[in-house]
Amino acid sequence: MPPTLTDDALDYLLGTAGLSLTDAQKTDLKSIHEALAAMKARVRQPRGRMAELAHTYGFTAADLT
Amino acid sequence: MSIPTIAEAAALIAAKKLSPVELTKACLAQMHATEDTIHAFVLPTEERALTEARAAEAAIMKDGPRGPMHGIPVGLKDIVDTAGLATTCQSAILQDNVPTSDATCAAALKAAGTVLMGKLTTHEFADGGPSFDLPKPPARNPWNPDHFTAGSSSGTGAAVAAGSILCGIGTDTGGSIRGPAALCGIAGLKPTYGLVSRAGVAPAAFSLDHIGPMAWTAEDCAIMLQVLAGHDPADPASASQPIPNYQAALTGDLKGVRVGVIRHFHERDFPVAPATQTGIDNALAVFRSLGATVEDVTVSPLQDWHACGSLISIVERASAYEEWARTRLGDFSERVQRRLHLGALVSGVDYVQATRRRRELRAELQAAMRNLDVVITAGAPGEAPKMDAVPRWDVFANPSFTIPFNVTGYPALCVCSGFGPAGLPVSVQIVGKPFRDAMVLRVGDAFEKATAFRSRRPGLAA
Repeated sequence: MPPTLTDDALDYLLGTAGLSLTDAQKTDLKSIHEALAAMKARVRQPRGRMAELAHTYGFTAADLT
Repeated sequence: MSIPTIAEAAALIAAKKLSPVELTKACLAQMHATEDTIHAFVLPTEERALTEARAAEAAIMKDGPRGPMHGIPVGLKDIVDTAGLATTCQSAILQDNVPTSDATCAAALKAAGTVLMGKLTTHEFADGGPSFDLPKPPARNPWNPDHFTAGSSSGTGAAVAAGSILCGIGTDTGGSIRGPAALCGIAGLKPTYGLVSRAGVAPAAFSLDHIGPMAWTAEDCAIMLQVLAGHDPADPASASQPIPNYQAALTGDLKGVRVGVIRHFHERDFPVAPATQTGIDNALAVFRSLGATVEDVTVSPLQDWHACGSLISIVERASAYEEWARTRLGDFSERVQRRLHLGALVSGVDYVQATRRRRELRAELQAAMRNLDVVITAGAPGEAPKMDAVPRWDVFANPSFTIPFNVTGYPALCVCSGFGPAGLPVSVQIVGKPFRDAMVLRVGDAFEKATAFRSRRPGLAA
């Protein structure tokens, strides 16, 4: 089961993001919390702390010109 | 006159048997006949088109065509900047936005001598349609206007299928070229990430955004890609790779081509409609008959790819539009507002975990394709749904067949592979290795030329 998204927690997250929602919009957003949590679980594979993210880059000759 | 392909029109124009003015007027007639029903254009540019067509005609009569796109009627998705011409992104927020310069892709088409027919409908900022609370109505499917076009390059898909343009620019963050191509029965290529410049095009999700051609055939996509592909220092993701002759790669046969099928995507992970399955099975038979070998390949479940791409997309969109989300949230459509709300619920750690998963998935596809030239799967689950049947939270309703290849950046093409019981098109998706866009186009073109699906146009376009 994904962690419960309480009204207080939702208000905190929306406040942090600077978003102002109506009660109906908040209810709508809470309705997909489980589906979103399932997505988050899918990207958390056992991988260890050394696994790099996709954006990691290396310098090329162009960096030296 | 019937609307020709770019390849046909270019040959006739070069032989001085077809005038760009005559061709433009034929496309305008299609636009006039269909636009009240399908709403493909947010801003038609009829007078400009006729002026450009006359200029093209004069130049061709004097010096011959600049290339196969000279005098060809095109359209631009309305998130593509056009100097002196409104670029609204189908948003109330940008109704007065008139860019002072062209996006790189728009400039490339202009330099090739194309005729601009207008700016094409899109979902708001290439996200979240169909919406009925935007400045202009959503595009409708020319095969049946009660049905959806998919998006977000909805107007480009509808206008090409209707014959109002011969080709147009689409953009693709999770399938916005290939989805409309699939549901409107045309060809749409999401090129390799970095092959076509994104400069001057409104962002959706930076690391997933692609610009590409949409046209009636794969061959026409190849002709258009030739004009669009190339390094652009104005785009930080732009690649510097040699550009092959894409049309020359279209040999018509598939001798020695190695095709993989990600069968579990469309048969087990999210089973497609019978007509789509039949289209894929028939495509495999055609590939074999043209000399290809076919084998199954297995990668992670479709839902893993969808989760990875969706989480990245949610966060990157939220970052791109954060300022307006904070200050003008109510000016977005309801659908885009909901997408922006999601940004608050995905943490920085969630995003990084998604990008770590992205690296793994890319490695997985790279390994799966080591001895293959292309892989195929569905482009969409079935025929176009009705306009009112698109889920409110579509990102959570079904996994996308197209987003895996935004996650990897690999080139992917959707072509029509038949028709379903409602008479609407179904499609197959062909995916290649990075910068092997020519191979993807070769497979799509060979399939189209070996089948009869390109001879059927939507009734509205007749």
